Amino acid sequence: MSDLALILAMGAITFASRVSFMWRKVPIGSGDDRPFLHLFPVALFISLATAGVLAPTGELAISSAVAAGVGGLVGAAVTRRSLLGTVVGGAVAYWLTRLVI
Amino acid sequence: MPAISSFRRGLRDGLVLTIPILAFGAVFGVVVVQAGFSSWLAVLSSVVILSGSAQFAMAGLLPAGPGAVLVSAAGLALRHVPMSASLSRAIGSQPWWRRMWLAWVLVDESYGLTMRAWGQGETDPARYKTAVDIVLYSSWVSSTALGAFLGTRLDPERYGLEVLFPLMFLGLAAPLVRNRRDWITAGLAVVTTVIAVALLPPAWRVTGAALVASLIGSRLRE
Repeated sequence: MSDLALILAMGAITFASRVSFMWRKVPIGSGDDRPFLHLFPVALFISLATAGVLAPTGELAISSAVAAGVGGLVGAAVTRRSLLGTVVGGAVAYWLTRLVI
Repeated sequence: MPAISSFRRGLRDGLVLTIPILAFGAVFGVVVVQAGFSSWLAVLSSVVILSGSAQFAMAGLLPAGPGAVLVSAAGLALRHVPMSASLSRAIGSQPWWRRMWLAWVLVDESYGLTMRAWGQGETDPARYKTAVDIVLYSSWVSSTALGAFLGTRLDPERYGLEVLFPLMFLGLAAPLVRNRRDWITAGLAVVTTVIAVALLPPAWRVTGAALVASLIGSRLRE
């Protein structure tokens, strides 16, 4: 398989998953799936954040990234859950930890 | 709120995410060229695939052959299915061309911003996401080109850029956690992710952890 064909195949796989529920004009689904669809974004973002903080290299490890996660939580609490406050709080904690250790 | 305001808000909010995306796009350009791709193929991959995790996996797995790359891409893409379902509810009835565009640029960051804005009362999530998508898509493709053609060497660890993505996702989740069931699901997501990191191959970890946590959470009362 050529590199070009590989890119096109990956694009097809990715787009197929992205368009799976977007191809119809009217949203699909009954009311039964609402709790799941409401909770999935929360679970996805927490999972992405947890993986990045606790396993930045792919393996579980205690590193400065953990301090960033704690700082991000503090930043979110102090700034009433603002995105910028979370990122700044985490980045400050991360850099302070790197300076100390 | 008028529709033009939704577009402007999307542009404004999308700009917040450009710094980490520009940095990682440039790093991807360098990495994938070093892995054997030509510069124009590196850029084409960002235009066609538009998925940082899948593209980095591709660069890392190229020596293992196309089968390993495609299996990994499928595992990483699986999370887009429930994302697509919940986004379709947020945007409501839309013309086909807009739905195709919104699906084409259905990435974690634009999805997160859109669901966050929708949860906070955004009246036109489709226009909002279109604006975010324009910012993110142009940032990702242009920074890939920069890395691929100029060979710019960026080391995310040196500047601490690698923590910006997890912090960004934490910031996107924060306003979505409102009641007891949300909190429990968030806690479950932490636990299932730790278990997934220990047990599953990288491509399946986040998708598997998020699916299990949200499935269990959806069985609970608010």
